[in-house]
Amino acid sequence: MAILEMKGVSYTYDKKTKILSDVTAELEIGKLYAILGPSGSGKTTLLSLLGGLDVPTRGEVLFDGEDIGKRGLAYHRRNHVALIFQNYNLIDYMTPVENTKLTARQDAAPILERLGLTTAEIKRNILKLSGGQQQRVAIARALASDAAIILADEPTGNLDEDTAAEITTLLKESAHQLQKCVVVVTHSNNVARQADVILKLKHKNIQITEQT
Amino acid sequence: MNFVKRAMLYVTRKRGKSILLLVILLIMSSFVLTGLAIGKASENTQEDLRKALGGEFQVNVSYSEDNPYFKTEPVDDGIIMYSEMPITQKVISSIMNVPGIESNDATSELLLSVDDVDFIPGNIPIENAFKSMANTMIVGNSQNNSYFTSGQIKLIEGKHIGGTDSHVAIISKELAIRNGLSIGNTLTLQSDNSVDVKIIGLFEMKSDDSILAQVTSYDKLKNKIFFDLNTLQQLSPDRTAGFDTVTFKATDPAELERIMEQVKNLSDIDWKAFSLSADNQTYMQAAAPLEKLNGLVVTMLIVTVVVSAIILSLILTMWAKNRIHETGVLLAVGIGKASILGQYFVEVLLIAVLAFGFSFFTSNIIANDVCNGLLQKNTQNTVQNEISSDDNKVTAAVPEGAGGTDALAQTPKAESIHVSVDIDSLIQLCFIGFAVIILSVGISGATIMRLKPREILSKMS
Ligand SMILES: Nc1ncnc2c1ncn2[C@@H]1O[C@H](COP(=O)(O)OP(=O)(O)O)[C@@H](O)[C@H]1O
Ligand SMILES: [Mg+2]
Repeated sequence: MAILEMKGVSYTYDKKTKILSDVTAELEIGKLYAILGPSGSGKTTLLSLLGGLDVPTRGEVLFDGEDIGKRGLAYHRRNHVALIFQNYNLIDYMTPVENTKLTARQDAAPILERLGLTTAEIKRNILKLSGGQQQRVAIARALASDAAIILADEPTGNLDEDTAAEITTLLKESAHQLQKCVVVVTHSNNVARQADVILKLKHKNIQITEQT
Repeated sequence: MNFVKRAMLYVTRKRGKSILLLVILLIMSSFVLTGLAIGKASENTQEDLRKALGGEFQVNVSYSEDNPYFKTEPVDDGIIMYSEMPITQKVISSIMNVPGIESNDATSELLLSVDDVDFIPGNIPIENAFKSMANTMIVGNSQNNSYFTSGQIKLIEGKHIGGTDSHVAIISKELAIRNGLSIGNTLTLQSDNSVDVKIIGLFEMKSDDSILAQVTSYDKLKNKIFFDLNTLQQLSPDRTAGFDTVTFKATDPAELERIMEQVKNLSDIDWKAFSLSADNQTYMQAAAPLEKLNGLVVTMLIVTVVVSAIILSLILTMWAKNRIHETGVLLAVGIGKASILGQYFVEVLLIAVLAFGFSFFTSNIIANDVCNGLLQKNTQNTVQNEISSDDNKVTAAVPEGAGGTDALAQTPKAESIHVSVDIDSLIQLCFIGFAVIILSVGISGATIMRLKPREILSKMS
């Protein structure tokens, strides 16, 4: 049963430039999705439509069968989705614990420690953590929010190969063990290989490939 | 995590910004609080002045040819001038009915002989005929009489002459002792008739006569005899008894013009016989620097508030631009715009509470100096005028007890007022401050709040 659906979604910038045209897809709980495509093909646009950061020009995005605009996009963002970005997007005047608590419905510290941060690190100034550590905090924030859907835009883009692999594993575990629907925009073949489903952006539409 | 918690984290972690904001708010609130306190002190002082000086107007019997009741009669060594229509009790009652009049002081002066009284001699020689005479004063109510109200003389025994009293008198303690008189004894006054009056009160002068004062025995204040209107009627039964001068005191000097206008329009008074004149000069003079000060304070407050709002808005807008990223993140994780704006507001509020608290002390320190500095600038001219006019008064040969000289000397001068910052002003500051903060945060937040989350996130990368 699909938790998130796109039905005939089109998106046009400034009423001229069409980015997406009539996209339909169903996303399920417990799966890791990878969105692939060249730069400027509309990956981030697609993700923001799923995350309720923007509205499609045409068509609809459904959560649990209901249009996400019905209860308001802010409600969708607060309750259904969690976002992870390439540049981590943490609040600089908050410690990892406080960043995680921002929208937490769960205890923050255990999640952070489970993701590999030490007791000292979780109370440190956020800017004194490495990229990998910061991205772990971002993942912790996503998990602590209890959102069923995690949307990540090139989360490993700024990380070295080993760290990227670790982060990818964490996202995969989130999907499989914590029963989240995880959607990752990526350029990395390593990430793509781990995904259950690949959504390839081509000619303003997507090509869906299930991997076994 | 709610917006208050976020605001507290921001304020405590971004210490540089917090301290800068604290300093700015402290300066602004000190100015505002100082202004408020000065304004209040000045108003209090004006209020005191009003109470102390009052606004007064006088009704006088008109001694001009236009007055049809005005009469002149030749006597042995000159002429007597009088009006057949003095200010009667009826006229006074009619004026007292006009709202806003607190009290009146009705008087007439009359030089007459008193039987068997040895008066205290003056230092100007006089003819024998005058030695048994005194310049008496007929009063409606001695308690309201300017000699008593100015503090020049004080009733030390017995009671005052009131509205319904008949055949009563008040004399000085010294005159009583000199003649072995005391309360309950009678004096015999001589005019067309001779009338006995009972002594009901004794007064004492606040300060002794100046040695330099040139005065006849009958003009000496110590020889003055106050008595009632009924006695006057009996002394000269052929004439209508009434007063020469009645001074009416307004409850609020600011109302004086309105009251006088109404008095002038009273139809039952024949204004051909009387003249009407105002005397709120003293108040106006004393209050002028304060009124200027008030104007300055209002200007200072408006300028401070406007400048504060502008500076604060600019700074917050500048800072908000640097916080677009943070705002985008908060929006992206599902925190509402209201909560974000609330956070910005609470941040400034937290610092403002501190600043307002501190300003209570800083403005207490500076308020007095600022106020008296401003006031001095304003009073310089006025005070100089007052001093020179005071000099004139001293050198002019004013007969003793002419009334007014002392009253003028006692005029409270607004050269310095004491300013203290109180809780009321602090509460006012809070209202003004919060209004400015809401405005500034609103202006600075508007820039961000108009952005869509998607745009904010695209601006981030
Ligand atoms: N604010 C914008 N206004 C106009 N065009 C935009 C805007 N943001 C992105 N685009 C265009 O939309 C296309 C898709 O952008 P995006 O979804 O960010 O691509 P991707 O994430 O795949 O690189 C790009 O061609 C980009 O130039
Ligand atoms: Mg992109």
